[in-house]
Amino acid sequence: MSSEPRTQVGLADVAPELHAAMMNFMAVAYPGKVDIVTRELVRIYSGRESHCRICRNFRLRVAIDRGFDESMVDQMDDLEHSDLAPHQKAALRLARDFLGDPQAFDADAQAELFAHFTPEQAAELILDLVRFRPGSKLTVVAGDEPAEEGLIYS
Amino acid sequence: MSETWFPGADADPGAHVGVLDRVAGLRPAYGEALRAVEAAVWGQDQVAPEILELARLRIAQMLGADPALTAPPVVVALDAARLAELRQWPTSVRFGDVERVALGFAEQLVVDAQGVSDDHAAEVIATMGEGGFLVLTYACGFFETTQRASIVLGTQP
Repeated sequence: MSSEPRTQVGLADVAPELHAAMMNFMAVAYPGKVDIVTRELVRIYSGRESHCRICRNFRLRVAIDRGFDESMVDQMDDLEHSDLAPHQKAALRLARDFLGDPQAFDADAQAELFAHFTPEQAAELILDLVRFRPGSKLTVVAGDEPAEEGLIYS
Repeated sequence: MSETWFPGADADPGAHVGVLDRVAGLRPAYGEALRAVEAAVWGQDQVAPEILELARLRIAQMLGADPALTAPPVVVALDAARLAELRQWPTSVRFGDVERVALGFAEQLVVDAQGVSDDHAAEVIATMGEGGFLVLTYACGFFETTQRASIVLGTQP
């Protein structure tokens, strides 16, 4: 890894239409149909699994206002024994399988997902998972991460 | 055409729309933005479509995904004999230097993007330019997650 930029240019310089499409992909994601705290948990989980320092440390103040707290992040590593809400566990199990072992997302997992989310909401979570990692990898590989750990609030 | 367990994303007979598109259609603006990203990945001029397609197909092999379910929106003609040896690209004579660099980079990105060393990044930049390096990085991430989605959505044969 590197926390020093590896290029003198950015994606916006060399592929402006791709960069614009990527930014629009982020822009239309919010507001959504799933509560913001659950989406934050999924985003942070993806950032952790993608080893992206920015993504795993970025925090939306609006999610904090609506109930997100750091103890939730600590509980991601042991979902089954966590105090997270059932719908948050279901969303994080989707993220865990999606990013780790997508073939493991079996009928039980599917049923659990739809016990807590409508098809529209589940589609949003899947689109979130499609969206998060490419940007994380670009950040990591381009050397655009901060040198130090530390929460980033927006 | 592909099947899925996902409610509300049933296949429309006669329509060649992949399952991820159908699921994404449940959040129309978000789904359209996904398709715009895909179009931009294939429409940029930093990395040739043939290189992108080799990377996409190799990532599909690594994940155990069916690449036909996330086929690109453009026609990319690749030699069948080369494709048959894609898993053996490091030793196959059918792959040139640029393709080897791109495939090695694509594999590393899937395994561990943080493990891309300064030397490895420099090799990719020297071969493909800074623009190629950035675009291929993002494209491989996109190919990875869209193919992970195709697996999760239960579309494997």
